[in-house]
Amino acid sequence: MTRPSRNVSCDAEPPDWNTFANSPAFKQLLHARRKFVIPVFLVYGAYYLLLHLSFGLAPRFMSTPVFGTLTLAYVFALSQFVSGGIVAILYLRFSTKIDERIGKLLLDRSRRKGGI
Amino acid sequence: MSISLAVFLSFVAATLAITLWAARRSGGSTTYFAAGRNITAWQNGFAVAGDFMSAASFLGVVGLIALEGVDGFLYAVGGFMAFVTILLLVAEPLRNAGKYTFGDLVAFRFHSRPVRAMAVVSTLTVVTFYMIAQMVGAGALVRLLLADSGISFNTAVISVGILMMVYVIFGGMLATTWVQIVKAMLLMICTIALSILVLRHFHFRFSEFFRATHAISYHAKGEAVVKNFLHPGLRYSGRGGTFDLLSLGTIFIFGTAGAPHVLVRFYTVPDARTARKSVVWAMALIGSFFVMTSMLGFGAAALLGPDFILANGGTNMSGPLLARALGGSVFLAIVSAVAFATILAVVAGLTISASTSFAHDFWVNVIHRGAERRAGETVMVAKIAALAVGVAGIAIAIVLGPAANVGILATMGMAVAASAHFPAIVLSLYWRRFNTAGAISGLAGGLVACLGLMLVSPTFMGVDSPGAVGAARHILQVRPWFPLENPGILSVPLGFLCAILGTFLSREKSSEDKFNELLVRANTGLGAEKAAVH
Repeated sequence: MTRPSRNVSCDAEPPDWNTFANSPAFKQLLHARRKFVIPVFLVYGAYYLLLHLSFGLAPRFMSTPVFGTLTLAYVFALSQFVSGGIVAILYLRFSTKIDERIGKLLLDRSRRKGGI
Repeated sequence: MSISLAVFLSFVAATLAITLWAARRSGGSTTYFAAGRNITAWQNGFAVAGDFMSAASFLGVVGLIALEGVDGFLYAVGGFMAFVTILLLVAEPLRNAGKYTFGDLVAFRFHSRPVRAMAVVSTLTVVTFYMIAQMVGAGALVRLLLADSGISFNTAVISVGILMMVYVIFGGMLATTWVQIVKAMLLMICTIALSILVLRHFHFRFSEFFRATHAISYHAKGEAVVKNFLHPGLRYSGRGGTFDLLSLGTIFIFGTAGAPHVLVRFYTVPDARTARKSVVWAMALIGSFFVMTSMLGFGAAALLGPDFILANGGTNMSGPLLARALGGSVFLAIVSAVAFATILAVVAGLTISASTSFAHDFWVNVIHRGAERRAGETVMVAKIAALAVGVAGIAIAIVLGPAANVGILATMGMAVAASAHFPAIVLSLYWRRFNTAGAISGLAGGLVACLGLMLVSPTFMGVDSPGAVGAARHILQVRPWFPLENPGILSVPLGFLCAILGTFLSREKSSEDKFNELLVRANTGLGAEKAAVH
């Protein structure tokens, strides 16, 4: 049973989603995106949880001063803001490339159809 | 008239002017629910930051650091890191594949009606917790800060409620967004000014500033103690502390990514690219804001000391008290007014997300199977819902009164979002096998697990001495069955587990076609909702 999708808005003719989803170009795009997003998310999540674990399990070690009077605990916590910023910059750069690939993919598709 | 009242009233005047401007732009549902999808990246970044930097973060986090040192700073870290999850996993697919609510995304592949109905139930639960926290906070703030103006708790709650209904009903998403932007700017300016004042006190030398946080003497449980506020362990210690910390960390990184009032923001921008850039804007704002809150928190601990703070209004008043100590009563008045404006903007954001969910998910898609019977019906239903939400919010806040624990209520909202919404969103985007039964049991299981664990946690259960009365007394007088204050570490995995079990236990085959369609839409933006053209 295929219901007409309610979300189709502007495209005059809804594309054939299955063909599109199984096209090699789209599969490569999806693969590239996942290859970036999943490891980055896991690494950042681990780094974030490590902060919480270290506060709970090694409070004395985390009390070690590292910069003058600044303790490891505070520096580690501040470094999370830096790591989040790095993730954001890396992701923005990665997405620009992905955007180009998406643009090309959509252009190829409309050319093949002889439309637009 | 006091200065804070004057500052606050000028904020109200400005926001009412915004509402008038927004109300004149006539338009259909897209204008009302999504500001015509014409908000730019920086504007949405400020609005998202505005939605997220509630009174709980401004007053609460500063207070936690002032009383519990670097342990309290973990709340700030969690608040910031939440947006990495949103950036990497949620914002773009949401914008590409949805229309107005996160329910659009979760219901996309499935038999839409039951899934949406469940999404509405959990959205309203989350919003209710946040809303009550903000309303009670507003009332308490007024009682402490505007005591000289003769405004009572109830008057404050009612006026906040009425203002937010005016913004939402007449100005829709456009007015709410701009109220949020203005408030975020005010809050940033205020925080920067206060941080500069703190540093000036220490002659702009960080070494001097942090040396002052090294030995802070105060009284804990009646005993005089001297603690280094840069050492961990003031709030969380021992094995239970570790689990509490992990639990807190879990609901932060997943809860914000499931918070309906944050997610609706990504529908107000023209496309997924703008949504992505707006998350980065929000991260820059929220990150710098939270780093500054550590200046304010440590500053309050060093300059005022925990004893003084507790004797003069309690944890939440650390920031305002610091403002008074450094900038005099004028600065205190400004900070208080900005804190009040913050609450007002956040409740408006909550109200519009609740009424959108009710009108779009429940009224149109559940009751009327996706078709609007008359033009403009959805907007009308949303306005009525906003009125109902406002009245209910006012009533509950007045019944609970100023003694209700604001921090716990806000954390409960986030815990429900993390346990119910996040698993459903992630699995529907990334798991081919996921089906209708899985989505429903994930949403329902996460919600029930979270609320149930809360109920048997030390928040509600505990045996008090006969002397404890009122807010200090636990609601259920038994020993807590669940040892942690925060259910996240168990309830988020339970939410995922329910979703996965529900999928495998039902015979329904997931629709391959629908998953392919969602994959293509979410990843390419093909067929995504377009911005309104003027």
